[in-house]
Amino acid sequence: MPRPDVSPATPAASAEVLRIDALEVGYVVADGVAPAVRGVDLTVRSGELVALAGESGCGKSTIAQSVLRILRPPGVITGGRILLEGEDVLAMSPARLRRVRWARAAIVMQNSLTALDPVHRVGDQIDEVVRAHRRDHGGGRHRTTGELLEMVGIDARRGRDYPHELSGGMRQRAAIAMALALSPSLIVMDEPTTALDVVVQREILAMVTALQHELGFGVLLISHDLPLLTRYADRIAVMKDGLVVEETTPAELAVTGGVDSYTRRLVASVPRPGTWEAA
Amino acid sequence: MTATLVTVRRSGARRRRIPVIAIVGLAVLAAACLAALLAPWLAPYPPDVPAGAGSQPPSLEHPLGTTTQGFDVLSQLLYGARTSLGVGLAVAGITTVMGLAIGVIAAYRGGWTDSVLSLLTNVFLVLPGLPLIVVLAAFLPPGPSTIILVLSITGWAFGARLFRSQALSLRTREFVAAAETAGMGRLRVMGTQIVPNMASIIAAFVVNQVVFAITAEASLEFLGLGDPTTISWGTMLFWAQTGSALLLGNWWEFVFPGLAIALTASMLTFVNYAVDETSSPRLQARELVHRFLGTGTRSSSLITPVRRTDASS
Amino acid sequence: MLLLLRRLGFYAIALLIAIAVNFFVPRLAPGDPASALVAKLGTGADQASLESLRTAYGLTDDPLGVQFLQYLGNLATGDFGLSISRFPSPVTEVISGSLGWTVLLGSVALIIAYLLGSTLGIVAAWYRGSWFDRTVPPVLIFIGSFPYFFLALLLVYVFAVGLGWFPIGQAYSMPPEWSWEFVGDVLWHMTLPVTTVVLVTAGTWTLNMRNAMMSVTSEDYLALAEAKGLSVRAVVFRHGARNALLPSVTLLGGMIGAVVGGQVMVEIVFSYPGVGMILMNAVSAHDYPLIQTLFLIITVTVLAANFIVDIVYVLLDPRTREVTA
Repeated sequence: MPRPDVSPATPAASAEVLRIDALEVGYVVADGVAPAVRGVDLTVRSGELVALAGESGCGKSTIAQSVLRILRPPGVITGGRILLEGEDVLAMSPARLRRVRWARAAIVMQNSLTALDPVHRVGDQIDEVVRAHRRDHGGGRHRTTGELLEMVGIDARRGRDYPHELSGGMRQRAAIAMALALSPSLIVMDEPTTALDVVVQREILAMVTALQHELGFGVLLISHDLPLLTRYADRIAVMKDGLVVEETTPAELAVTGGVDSYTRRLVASVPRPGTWEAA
Repeated sequence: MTATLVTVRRSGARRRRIPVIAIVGLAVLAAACLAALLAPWLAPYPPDVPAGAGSQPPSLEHPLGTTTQGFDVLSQLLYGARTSLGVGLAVAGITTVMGLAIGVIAAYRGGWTDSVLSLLTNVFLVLPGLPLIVVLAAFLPPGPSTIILVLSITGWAFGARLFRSQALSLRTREFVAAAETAGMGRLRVMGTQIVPNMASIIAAFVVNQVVFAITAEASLEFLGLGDPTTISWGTMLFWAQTGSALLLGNWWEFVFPGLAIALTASMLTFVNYAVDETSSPRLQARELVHRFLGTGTRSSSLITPVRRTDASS
Repeated sequence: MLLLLRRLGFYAIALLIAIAVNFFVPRLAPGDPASALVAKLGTGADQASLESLRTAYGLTDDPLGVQFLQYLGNLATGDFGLSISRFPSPVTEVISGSLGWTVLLGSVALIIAYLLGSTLGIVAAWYRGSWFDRTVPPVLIFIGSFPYFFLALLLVYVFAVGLGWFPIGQAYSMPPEWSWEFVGDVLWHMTLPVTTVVLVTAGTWTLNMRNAMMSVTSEDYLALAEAKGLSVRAVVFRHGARNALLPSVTLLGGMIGAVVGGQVMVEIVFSYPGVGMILMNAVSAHDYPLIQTLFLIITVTVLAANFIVDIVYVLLDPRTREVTA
């Protein structure tokens, strides 16, 4: 079923929340820099779910971590621009970056068990990010932790639990609730459902798209799970060896099976009992 | 068949660069051992016969001074090195072998054997060392052999736990499985596959144990549990204490043997630390970036640096 | 709580083994145990001492098993035998009071060394590879490999005998009373001994906390904490150090037994009225009942301290607790 245009809950419904221009990222090695991302252009609009697909090692996770500049050493960004609501992340001072982080863009990581601090309660981990950014959001009121948890389908009282006391699916929902705490315009999801079972995967992505309808944020979804992407993504960018080899939509993909040879191989390698669920 | 196994083992072993300081440290230890061995030729006086007036500060005649009873400190130091280093090396050797045997066997056989051996290991680890040593040593005739025996009985547990956890992680590696399916006996697998791959851990452990043994031995002798008639760095300190060298102001009586112990111990500890440091992969990743950027603080704040390699913006 | 019960059981087994050691060691000495012991006493051994030894060790003619049970019985009723060097005072009387001083010295030294060392370790880890990281841990380790008693002697010689800033020994110089003056006097006397122990042990805490921090900073949740735009302080302490505490506390348990030995030496050098002095005098006087009782008492103290550490660990790590419904 085709996804309807996002009705503007935010002022500029089709504004670019993320714009990546000619991004180059590499890893420092003994005699130079080994390139991992070799010139990538990507755009995510308000309310859009853009998927970045490809096999492991193609550079998609590198891009995900670069958006907020949390790529670990020996990672280094060597060229391009990353614009969050028009402002270049790569040109920001550390102080500015800290204020923008989570407020403009948030991230949901793959393994929620290792991504949430095991010694603090889930609710506290959400509270702290609101407190940390309190100075910057003089205007509107933030949602409370309880409201955020309810929004993702978790009983508000579970906020008192520790991460290990929640199931994998609930943890990931909590991570999403945390990501929404400051009402960012973009959420990056780095293989958020890979560690979960199939049914839970679908539920979570359905929830995310529903929330997108309601709140209007954009999503950059990293995944290698093609069937999942064709069901929930608005656009799919296929990556190989640090470059985007094809940008398409689920509808087109169903018809063409991919233009680039790599895409075709990717599509063909998926075991499919039925047909594409693109329409 | 043997050739294949050897090849597989090699690819499993890690190669480490040995830093200069490790070589320097070991050279110092070797020099000390050499000096100890050559004591009869190097020492200017016999260590157990008064060689001059008592309580003489360092001078040309007696470079390290004399004790209250007139023994030459330098000669005592050289002869004492034989006992101190000898005991240190002996204990290190024994505890390493014991720890290896118990640890590797426990890890490899698992089950009841492992449970019992691990329980025993943990008990000896939690019981306070010195009081236990004192209890054992008090009932046995004083002397270096007793000290070696007692330190070995109380000191094997540390190695047993360390080697067990190492062997456990090695046990699941491919080359062990390959050896087992090839029909190699369990003892041979342990001896030829598991132990050689722990070589660097064992080396670091031995160094550690030498430090422990030398220090513990000196402590025991200082307490009076050694044989006061044998000469070692520890007994020199014992005599210094009982002879009130401190109050008499004879600092050379305890500073030199104490320094000998302290320097040997600290040099060895340092060697271990230095080797540890240079083989950490995390350091290498951050070091690479730091060198690449050429500047900046070393803070661990996670902000991916931007260094443009192209000419345009 | 199952974890804690299991630990308690383990400590009970360890204590039993310690008691068994106490029981069997005198019997392992060649010859008739009592005579062998008496032979070591040399002059001054009279019939009364012999009898005291015999009962202290349960050296009757009963079979070994019965003797052991008798020994256990004696221990349970608090009968540790009579001291030989201070005959006929019971051993417990000789020891009483000294344990308190040892625990006081040990606790203060442990807390200071732990806090100081750990803080330095956190800084060293955060600024990995900086001049601080390259000098402070190695220097502390260097100092820490000196034997306890040697450092103690050095400190005494320089600061007490030489400069006269601190007393040469003892725990206090004025008659004990409950006043601030007395507390000050005690602290003044404690300074050098505590400093000795801190110098030797701080390096271990620094290194341990540093390594723990380094492995914590490579965890996902720390990257996420940074991504949340939290302040450096929140990242380092609320998320970093708070998690690094866990392996640090584990080491604390392991170190207690080891530090006791060193502290004994320090007490001897400073003539501090703790168990160290008593042990040394017992050794030189061949006062076996005293030596063995000290061993048991120190062991119990160490095991108790270990258990406290276990409790602290459970409080710090929510994953060890049972899941509440």
